[in-house]
Amino acid sequence: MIDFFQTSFSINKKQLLHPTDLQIVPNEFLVIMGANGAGKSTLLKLMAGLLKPSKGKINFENIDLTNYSAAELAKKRAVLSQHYQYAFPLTAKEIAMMGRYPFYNATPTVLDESIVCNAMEIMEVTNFANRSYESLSGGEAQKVQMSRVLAQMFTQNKEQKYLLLDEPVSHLDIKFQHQLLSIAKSIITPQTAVIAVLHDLNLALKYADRIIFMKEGSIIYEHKTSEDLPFALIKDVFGIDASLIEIPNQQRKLVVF
Amino acid sequence: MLKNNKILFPFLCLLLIGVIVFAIAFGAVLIQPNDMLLAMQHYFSGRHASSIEESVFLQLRLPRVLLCAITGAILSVSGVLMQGLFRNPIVEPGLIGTSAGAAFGASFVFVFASCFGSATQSLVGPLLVPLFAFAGGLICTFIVYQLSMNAKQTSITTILLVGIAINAIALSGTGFMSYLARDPQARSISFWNMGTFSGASWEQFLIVSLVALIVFIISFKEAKKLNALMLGEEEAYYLGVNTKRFKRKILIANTAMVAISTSFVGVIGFMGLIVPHVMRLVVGSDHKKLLPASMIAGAILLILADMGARLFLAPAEIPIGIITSIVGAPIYILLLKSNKFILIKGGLND
Repeated sequence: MIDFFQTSFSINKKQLLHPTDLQIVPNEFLVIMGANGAGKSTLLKLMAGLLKPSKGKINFENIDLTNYSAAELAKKRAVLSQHYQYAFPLTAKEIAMMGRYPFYNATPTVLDESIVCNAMEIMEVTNFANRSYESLSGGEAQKVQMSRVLAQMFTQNKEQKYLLLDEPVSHLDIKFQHQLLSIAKSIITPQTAVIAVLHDLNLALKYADRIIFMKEGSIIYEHKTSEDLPFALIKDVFGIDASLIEIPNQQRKLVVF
Repeated sequence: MLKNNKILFPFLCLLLIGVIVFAIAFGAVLIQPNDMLLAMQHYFSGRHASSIEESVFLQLRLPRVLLCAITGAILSVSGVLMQGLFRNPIVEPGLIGTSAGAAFGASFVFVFASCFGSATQSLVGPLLVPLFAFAGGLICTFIVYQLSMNAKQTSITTILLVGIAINAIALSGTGFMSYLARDPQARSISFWNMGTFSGASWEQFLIVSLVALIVFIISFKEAKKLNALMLGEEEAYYLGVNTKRFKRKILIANTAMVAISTSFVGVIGFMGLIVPHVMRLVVGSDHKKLLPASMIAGAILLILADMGARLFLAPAEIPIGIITSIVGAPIYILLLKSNKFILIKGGLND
């Protein structure tokens, strides 16, 4: 469980997140949406422990997040960001193995090896395990990163784990977008939650259990995807008119701008 | 990338031993392998050396070659560490002020040692030069690191430009010291800027290798964290690395070993660039393999460079820094020309 208690964050006197209360429990796919500069990434980075709250606090499993060391947090949550660029030749396998770094000391165990192989199989990147990361296309590279993050998410205990995705699909083609999000959705268990920052409202409506809409550093609306989306909200959050279209034979509706 | 490391490491080790024996044998006095064995035998049984070859071997050649090996290892490992820290493969201690700062610190104390009084000299005398070299190297490296970190978007260009400025200050500082110095000192100061192993002693070898051993152990244990840092500082944190503390630790440990070796043998450029670059092609960038491979290869290369320094114009000696620069600078330019390295932003924004 992740609890925000009147958490705010400011940098250079500019308040990026106004005092916010938020609770995230396992077994849900939470999507954070909003226009650029609405504070989505700030919220996610606070959750990840990278940023420390300026005021208020965040509890992670009922303990103040700032009490965890980087090493402890790495065992409880994994983070996938938008894109990565390296100046060094690393193989896809070497990058995927980094997901197990928090769990082994000097050399990976047999279990670590099999977890990484498994993760790479799920992401369909086994074929280029030994290829240099630099030679991969944007989509392939992001899949390798996702397999790294999946390896980090693996657990045998019944402990709570969180997968944080910061605009994970922004530069991917449509097939990759759906593949990545449906795999993220598939790892949700009663102990696991996925929290993602997304830009595409239709993707969010398809995969999320709950969407929080942010504007100017505050959460202005929480939406359960089982309910109907209030129409006026879209204009308020994104500043653009939209229409909803019925999809034949499906419960959900499509948003068109 | 070479997959079979089982062959590579024994091969590198054998090559190192071969090169060491080779380098000991050749010089103004030729030393046969059985002279080496005899000298060892005599030394360990507590007897005096029985021939001139034996004493040349024990007093001059062996400490020189060993100091050379450990210095080569230090500079190459340092190149790998600095490249990991700055997240760019064209960084090395000579470019970011570590070596020049250390040389200035050493020359400063060399010239002003007499001002410290004879009492302090006898007490901390042998440690004074390495200590000031460490301080000088640390200050310069830190300034370069801090200045290139503060810029909003950091590119390798910033690092190199700041490096040029700091190097220029440190070099002119050393130049000023050599201007102030009386004659015999002045000569050794100018040698500092070009590097030489002509004054190698057992004492120097022991001090340098002790520090190097500690830093090597620290950095080999941190191989995983160095790998994680390649993904970027945020990602390294997500993988469990306390990046601030880690960077500080690596920066200080690295500066300590480079500064102390520089205080004895002077500035030797481009070693930290060439060796890691070649080893990346052979073993890839996983620090678990890259660090030991660079360590051994660096030792081999610097021993060979020192043989060149001794033998090309024998009986005169060329400063070794000139040789490494002549070979290293073109490789550096080649690296710069394959400009994918320049375009990538360093991971220095905190």
